[in-house]
Amino acid sequence: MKRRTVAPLLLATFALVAGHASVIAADGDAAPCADTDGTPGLTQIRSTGWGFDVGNTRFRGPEDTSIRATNVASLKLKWSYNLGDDSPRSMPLVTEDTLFIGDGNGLVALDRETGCERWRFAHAGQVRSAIVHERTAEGATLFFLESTGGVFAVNAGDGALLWNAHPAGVDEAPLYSGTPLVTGGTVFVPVASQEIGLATVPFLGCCHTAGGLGALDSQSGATRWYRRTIEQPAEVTGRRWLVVKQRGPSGAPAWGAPAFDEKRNLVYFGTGQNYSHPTTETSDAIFAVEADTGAVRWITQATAGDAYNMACNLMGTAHPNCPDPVGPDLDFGAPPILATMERGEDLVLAGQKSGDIHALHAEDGSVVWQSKLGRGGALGGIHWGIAYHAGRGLVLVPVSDLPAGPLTGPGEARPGLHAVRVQDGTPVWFHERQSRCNARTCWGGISAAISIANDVVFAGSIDGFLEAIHVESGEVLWSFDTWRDFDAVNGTATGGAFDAHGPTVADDLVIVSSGYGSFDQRGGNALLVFALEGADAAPSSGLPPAQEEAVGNS
Amino acid sequence: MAAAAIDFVLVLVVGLVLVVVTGAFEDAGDYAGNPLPRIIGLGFAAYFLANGWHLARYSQTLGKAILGLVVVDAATTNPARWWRLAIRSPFFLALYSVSLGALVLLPLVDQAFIFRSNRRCLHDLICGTDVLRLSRTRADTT
Repeated sequence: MKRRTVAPLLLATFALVAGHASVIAADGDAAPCADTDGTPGLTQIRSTGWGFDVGNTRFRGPEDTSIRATNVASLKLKWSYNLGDDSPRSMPLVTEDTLFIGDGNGLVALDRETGCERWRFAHAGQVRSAIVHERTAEGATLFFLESTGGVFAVNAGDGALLWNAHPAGVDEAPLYSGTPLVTGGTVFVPVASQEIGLATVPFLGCCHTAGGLGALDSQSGATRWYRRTIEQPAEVTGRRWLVVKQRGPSGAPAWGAPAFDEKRNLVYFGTGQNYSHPTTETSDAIFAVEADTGAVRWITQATAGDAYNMACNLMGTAHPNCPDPVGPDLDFGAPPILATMERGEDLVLAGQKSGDIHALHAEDGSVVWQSKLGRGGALGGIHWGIAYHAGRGLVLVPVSDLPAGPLTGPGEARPGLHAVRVQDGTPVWFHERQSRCNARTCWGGISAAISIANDVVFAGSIDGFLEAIHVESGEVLWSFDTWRDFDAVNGTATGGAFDAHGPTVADDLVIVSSGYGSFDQRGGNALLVFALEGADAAPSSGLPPAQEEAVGNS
Repeated sequence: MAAAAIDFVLVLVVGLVLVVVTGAFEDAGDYAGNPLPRIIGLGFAAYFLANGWHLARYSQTLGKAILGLVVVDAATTNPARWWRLAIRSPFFLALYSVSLGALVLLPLVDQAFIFRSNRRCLHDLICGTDVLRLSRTRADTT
């Protein structure tokens, strides 16, 4: 072979081999289930949505789970699964024999005993929500949001796509980061905007899109109504480089799961900051809208004058798209909770990135009490989700207080889990978390949403510990370090930071994703399924069948 | 390679000016879906704005003109005809941006041909072109 032809051939051979190897590495599906026809059991579906109930309490009682303080120490890792995504953003839905979750290749139905694969709905985009469901004329139907692809409805029996839609009237470049609420034949869809990140591009004339809440027919995907969070359209507020427009108002995205108030027929949801000036009275606010029409019943704003987008992370206000003045970026990301008090009074509980928890009258949005639990900042404060234990009258509040540069809140960090009294916000106990080392990735705060199983709170920290904490005392009853590799059913899974949707509890299982590589946190891809062992273990069909009707259609 | 580097910078600058003036990426919707066709279109426009007239008139991009290079018909050493130039540069650059199947290897394979003794890259071989110094001595290709 002549020398002059060697170099191109070597290069081509190397590229072909590398390409083939990457295909092999990407093939991480679990083995198909051999002992079944692949059809999931759908008799007992364990939750209605992100918040387990439509009020978003994130509470599982004795009829839902056998896990409690007296047996939680017997939790053992049952199996793990590589989600194929360095920052997984999905939360599973559990039935009597299956769990449905989004992974790097779409939506997958896994056998809950072994992790083998029943079916897969292959899709390129990232599943960015919890998997929720409702029974429609097509049977049990799963709903989820894909970051830019909108709402998907999939047949739970075989994974067939039923419909895919965006709410009609949504602004261009929508971003779907929250979880939809499905109830009464309607899918309520929180909508944010890609402009939060696109603003980093200096050619973008920032910003003219806003968030919103859409209501879609669960059967067809047709839009019933769409409520934009900023009523007035954006206007040109100036120009730079002679031609590029500067626009506002914009932003006020919705990226937390809505809550439903059946008594008032209201849907509650939170919003984030404006992306550009002028700011509005609807940013960093809690909305109450009528479920049938989207008409606003009340809006309570917690922080006024808040404008921020990700251009500010690059060059601060020197970036042409960073609003000046900037910040403090204090969204309501944590979904609001509808809490019914002993006297029958209803409160809307809302945790904010400022570190504040707000209790509002469900009727008119007026403030009942407010309690500051952390210093807060652009990364929380209270970030992804709080929980409510009605029996104990306690609101459980995870606080991150992760440093966020100039957008870090004032005062001392108070990372950990706080318990406050629902009547008045009085602190009851505080489980302070220490970081495992000094690096940012080791921060001990709790950014992820939490869940309650009877008298135990499950909380995952940024430094990778999953803890079970006693509701009464704040004592840690069980802890599991996920910063390691796991021998998963589809290869090796890697643990990392806990963030986003947090743990799911069903029957004798705790299911959680470990690894969230955003914000310089430690990435990973592990779906971890824990189960009670020995005499504490409940049968896999722990719920009485009658419960399904009450749970599945509430 | 130096001429290509100069051309890259010039086309980039013209392209950025085009982006600002036309507002091609001013709206969030411009980034939704697949913005690649828009980017390629702007790249073509910028290339022709920067080099079109000079190529047609002198068989030189601005980068080659600065370095005293000219693209010629390999068979005759006369300045290359317009259609050879059109295939040679913009068409090949467009192919570079296609990430489909074996085409992802095209840039590597194309440039690797420079190690041959006549230093003509794949695009030169296909288009029947060569790059010469204006003094008529063989020069670096691309």
